[in-house]
Amino acid sequence: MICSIIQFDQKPDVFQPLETVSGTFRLEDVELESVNRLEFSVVWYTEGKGDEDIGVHFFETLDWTNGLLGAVSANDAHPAPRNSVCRIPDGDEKGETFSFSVTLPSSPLSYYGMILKIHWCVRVRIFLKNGREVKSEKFFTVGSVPKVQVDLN
Amino acid sequence: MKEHSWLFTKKRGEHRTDSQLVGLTAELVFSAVCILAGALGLIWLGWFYVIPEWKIHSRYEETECVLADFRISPRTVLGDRPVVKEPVDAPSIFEDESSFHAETSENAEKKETGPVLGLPFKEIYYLPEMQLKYFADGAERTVWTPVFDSVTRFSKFSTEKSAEEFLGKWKIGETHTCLTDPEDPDQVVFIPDWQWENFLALIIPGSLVFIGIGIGIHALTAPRYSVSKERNALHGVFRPQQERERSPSGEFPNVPDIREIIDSPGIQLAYRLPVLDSPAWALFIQTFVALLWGTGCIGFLVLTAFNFREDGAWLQLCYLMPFLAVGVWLVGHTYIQLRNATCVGSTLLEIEKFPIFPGRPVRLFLSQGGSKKLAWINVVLVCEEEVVFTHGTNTRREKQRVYQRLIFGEEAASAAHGTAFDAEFLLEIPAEAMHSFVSAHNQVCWRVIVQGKLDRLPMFERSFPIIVYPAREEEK
Repeated sequence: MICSIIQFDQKPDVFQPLETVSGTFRLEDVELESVNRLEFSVVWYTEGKGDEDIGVHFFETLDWTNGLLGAVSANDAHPAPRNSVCRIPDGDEKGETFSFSVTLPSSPLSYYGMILKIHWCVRVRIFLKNGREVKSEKFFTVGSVPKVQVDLN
Repeated sequence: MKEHSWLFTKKRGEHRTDSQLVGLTAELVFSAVCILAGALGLIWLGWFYVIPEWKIHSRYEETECVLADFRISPRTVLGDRPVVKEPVDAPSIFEDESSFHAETSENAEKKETGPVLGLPFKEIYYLPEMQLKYFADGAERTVWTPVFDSVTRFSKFSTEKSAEEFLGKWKIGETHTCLTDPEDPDQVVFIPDWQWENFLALIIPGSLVFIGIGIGIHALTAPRYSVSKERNALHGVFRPQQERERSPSGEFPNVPDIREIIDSPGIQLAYRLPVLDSPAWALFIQTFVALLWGTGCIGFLVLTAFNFREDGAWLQLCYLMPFLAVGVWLVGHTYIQLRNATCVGSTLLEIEKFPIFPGRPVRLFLSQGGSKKLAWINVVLVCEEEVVFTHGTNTRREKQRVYQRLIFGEEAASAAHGTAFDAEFLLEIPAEAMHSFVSAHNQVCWRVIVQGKLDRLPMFERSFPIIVYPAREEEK
């Protein structure tokens, strides 16, 4: 199945504000030649009773015109420079691998409330030349706000 | 999870096709239908209105004519076509039901009346006609012609009387301008009141063609790949102006702008917090309405009293009673509200410093005015989640209180009559609490609520917003 496997360098997947999220994502079951472009983003979005809001902290398009899908240069290595995405030499034969490194903002923190939740994730969208689109995402936590227990003392 | 059809999926009120090809085809078909419908409309209007108008105005010549005589001709319609029909010289100008050709005095007698081909009459109408005398092609001519609204439509009436009234606008012997065909001087058109508004009808098919072309161009030139949510959000599609204006420093994205609440200096401490949902405006409007209603009622009451003395207007008095009752209740209720507001007095809440971080206490100063003795007063710290969501075509707002803590309370507060009650205490946001958050449809709000009760008055409540910044790791 076509997808991208996202992995963080740090475990567990809990980060503090202004920390750097770094890791890799690997394309599975897809030839790079059949990819039109990739979109890599670090986003937060709301979930719950209200309409969904989304905040894009980092966004990068990787396509053939900007060269980010092209050949690997000698400077490209893991981890990627801060706030960037780049293709790195294949660690194995399973698929093309990309490295990312993004510094998080001060806010908003991850939040798990009663009618509102705020999630952070790294999201990769693969746009194939045949028009298909495949989305993969990996969640992580920003800050350490515990899950809300209603306290109305 | 509910299964959707293979063609359409629905999420939060947005419909989309799963297949780009189906979507493109549907758009192109819709575009073609619009263009076709618009083109047919334009052709029809052009053939029956625009071309005849153009021909008349470009080919015919203006001629002075004298109104020699009037008559009203009853006409019958068989099906959709008039029974009486003259031979046609210029079929592109006058055709079908609306066609009528000016007839000369020589051929006026040739008309047939009665059933044709054994078919029954379906409709009778009356045609006002004028006999025009004019010079054309070197000779005086006398022609009977109907009165035209426009080139292709003549005035006709369902009753003889209305046709007579219509002809009453002119008098025999008057001189007017008419249009004659230089190639056939017997062809004459008399349009006393040409109506250009007929051409406005072109807007409808014209718009359809434009819309169809626009949709077609959009369908063919739009990117074939879909645009992701992230890309849309990045370009501000999901971000209203209000949100972008907040947190101008960018240091704490999606934390409300602190400038909204620190623009007022305090007396005891650094800043005075603004009051949320102040009742002043509501009270002002209520007072205005009560005064207006009361004045109106008094006016009507005086008027009714005069009438009552003269002719005992009981009915008028009965009608006035409900309005008087409402007026008395409104004025009374407004008076109580005003008295309560003035007795409770103003509530001032000042804070030592901003910003507020979880786990770091700050001092608050409370001053509660009022003309009566305080029975009790509480200060409560609350945190609420507030969301806005669309439900069908409605937009709804919902709040959920997730945290509430009494930070100050005093019974039988010692403020004397006519003096303010003052108190100073600490405010501390729990160390692991969520910071204030705002986005287009979702918020996390922190507030300090002052509740109290004065002797012989109902409880009052005032709410003050505070902005909590994200906790710093070293503070925990």
